[in-house]
Amino acid sequence: MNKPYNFFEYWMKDLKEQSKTPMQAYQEFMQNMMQSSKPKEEAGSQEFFQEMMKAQVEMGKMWFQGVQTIFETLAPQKKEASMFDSWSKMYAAWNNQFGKPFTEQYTRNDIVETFKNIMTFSQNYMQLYQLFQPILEQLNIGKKPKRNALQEFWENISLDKYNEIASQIFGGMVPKQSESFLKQIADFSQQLFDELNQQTGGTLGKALESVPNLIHNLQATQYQAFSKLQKAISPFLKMIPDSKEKQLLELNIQLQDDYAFYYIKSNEMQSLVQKTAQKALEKTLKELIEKVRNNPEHIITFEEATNLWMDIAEPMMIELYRSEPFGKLQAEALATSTAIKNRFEKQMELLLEPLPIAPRSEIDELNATIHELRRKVRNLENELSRQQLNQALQNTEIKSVSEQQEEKTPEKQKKTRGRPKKI
Amino acid sequence: MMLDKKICNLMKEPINKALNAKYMIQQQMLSLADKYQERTEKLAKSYHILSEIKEIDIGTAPKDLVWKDGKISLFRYQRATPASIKTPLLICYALVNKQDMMDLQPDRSVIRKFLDLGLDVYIIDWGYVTRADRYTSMDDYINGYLNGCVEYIRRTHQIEKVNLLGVCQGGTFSVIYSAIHPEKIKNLVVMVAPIDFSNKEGLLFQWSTYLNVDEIIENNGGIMPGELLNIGFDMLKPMSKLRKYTSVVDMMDDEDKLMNFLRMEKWVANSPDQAGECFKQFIKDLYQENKLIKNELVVGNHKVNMKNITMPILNIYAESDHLVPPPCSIPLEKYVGSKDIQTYKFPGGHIGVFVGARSQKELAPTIVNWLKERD
Repeated sequence: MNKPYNFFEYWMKDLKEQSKTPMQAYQEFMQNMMQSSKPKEEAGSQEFFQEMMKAQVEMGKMWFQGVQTIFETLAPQKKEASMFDSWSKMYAAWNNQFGKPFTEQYTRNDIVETFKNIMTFSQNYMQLYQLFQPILEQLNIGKKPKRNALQEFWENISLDKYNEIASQIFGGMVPKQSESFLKQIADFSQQLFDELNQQTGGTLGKALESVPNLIHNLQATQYQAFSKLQKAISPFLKMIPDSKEKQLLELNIQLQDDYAFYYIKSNEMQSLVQKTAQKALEKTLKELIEKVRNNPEHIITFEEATNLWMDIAEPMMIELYRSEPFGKLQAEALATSTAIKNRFEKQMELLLEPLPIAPRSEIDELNATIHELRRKVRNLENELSRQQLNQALQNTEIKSVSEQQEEKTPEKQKKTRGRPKKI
Repeated sequence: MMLDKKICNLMKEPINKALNAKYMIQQQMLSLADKYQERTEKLAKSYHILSEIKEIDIGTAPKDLVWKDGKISLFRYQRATPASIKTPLLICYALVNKQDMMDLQPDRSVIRKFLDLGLDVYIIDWGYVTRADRYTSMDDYINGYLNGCVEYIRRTHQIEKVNLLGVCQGGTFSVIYSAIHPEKIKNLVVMVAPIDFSNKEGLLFQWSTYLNVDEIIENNGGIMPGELLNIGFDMLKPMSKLRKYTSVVDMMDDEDKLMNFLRMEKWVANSPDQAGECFKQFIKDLYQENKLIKNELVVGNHKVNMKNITMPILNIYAESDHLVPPPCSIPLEKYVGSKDIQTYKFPGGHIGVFVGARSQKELAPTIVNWLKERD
């Protein structure tokens, strides 16, 4: 499987090898789709979806081939193509970090998802077993634990390993993915910077010599460094006439700033989670030791130990989640992560500008109009429906009144007729 | 010699004890390799069993699509016999997750129980939101779609009022609707619905305080992704996933239990995205500013006055609800104008209200009898 960030090279190569026009490719795709959507009696739903997925991947491939051709035709300097490639590496790195909420929807298979979850949590289960097993062996020797048992256990536990388990169970950042994202963001910035430097006849580059290696060293910098970067670059950016590259670079600077902020907030959150998880483990060990101290013959099983750990950790974690510092951090991290997504979308719109594609912002304008029209139609329909019902109810009322009257009339008539007799 | 024997006797008991303990440890504490093997075997078996399952069926009670507006559908459940309660019941479920929870499987179905007990049941399916629905507001949902469903039923049955049952967020919507259009609602049933948002016992209520919902929605292209909401729901009970996924491998042999588990999994995972405009107002006006009970909420052109709710009300809350804690549901009676209001405590959690054994045996008959008395 090709890595996502190599897609341009891959599709270019593929297009040349197959020597197909985008139209031929599209026709092929349609045939594939038709083929895969035919019901197959022998195939289960899994196979069907696999085929559908295959067809969708094919469609993606064709689409990018088409895009590549258009890029080559419309962008004489071919810079968009390489810029898009560089940008897409950065986007892929971000998606790799965040996973599904920020990637496109895909066909869901509930059973496959369930099995994936079973696998993931089985891994956590085994990691916990690895953690508890040496402790339980020491506790289950039929003797009262030593006075300093807790200290001994604590010293022998790999806190790094435990923190890793806690992060997997309670959620957290994966440093490697973060590094990869920062690398891609730096590369893209460099490319934009080079482009702008060319546009300004090297002025920007000379001016920025006073901020050496700033862009290349992004991975090692702290949040303050990003603000410095913004401050350092902004006067020079003002000198440059408006261009797509300039807008992209500005967005990238904001993106770096956001990411640094997000990274810090996520780490703070993770630190709170790990501290709480450590307290939970300490409390669990204390209770286990106490149990054996009170009854040295009691054998503590792994299930008993993990259940105790979960019973202790869960309320502690809920308490943490309920706390103000965690709530604030979570809200900040969430808002920043979505801001990053938003900047990516703006960048994508800029990169796709030369193509005959309606950007999302234009579609949103259309959606707003459609929404307003639908609301007006619905109000009219409701009003009409209300009037019809009222009319119907009125008719029913009139009918029942006249029926009542009709029922009453013969009685009256009878009475009237009878009256003289009475008299 | 005697001394040796004495020593032996003295040692006998602790040695036996130690041997016994060692045996017990061997029995109960497998080596890491053995444990891996045991787990791998269970996983392999789970894979085999799961790959044999073709379909997970939920929401199977027969029903007909009777009305549609955009992505919103109104279904009417099929009845073999005429309904014994003449006023039809409209169920308004939450926008979060799907209404299938009310008909998870034939023996865990509040809907089927309602039908058995003589109700004519309609249910709203809110559909799946996309970016095209980003501007759909609370006004659209309540005064547009919900009202459209009520109008359809009124028109079809030639009646002035319908019975309305609102679940969770759908319960809040139903209360708002009943305050705006009291003339169209005969009886109101509210299930596990947040009404008073001032109590911060629930994590969702606490978190929403700090949420910059405008920014989040705007940055997400005008919608709130369902997956993001699910991450939040998972955090409410942080250990539940570890517990359930590690224990499910032990119940693979029991087909009924496994299918129950998979149906619930399917329902949990089916978490639609939320329309941005509606989500924003729900968070800001209700979670953050608690405007409903203050009679300050404005939906479309309507100011929502809870005192307008004068029809009979049955308010059901779950004693161990971690999503909508009881203090958020119970106060409904304090704010409405109705003189006929009954508060019902259900011993269980938020989901147990629909799928627990008591739900079928006790809760559904209670609702139907309550409606019957007021038909």
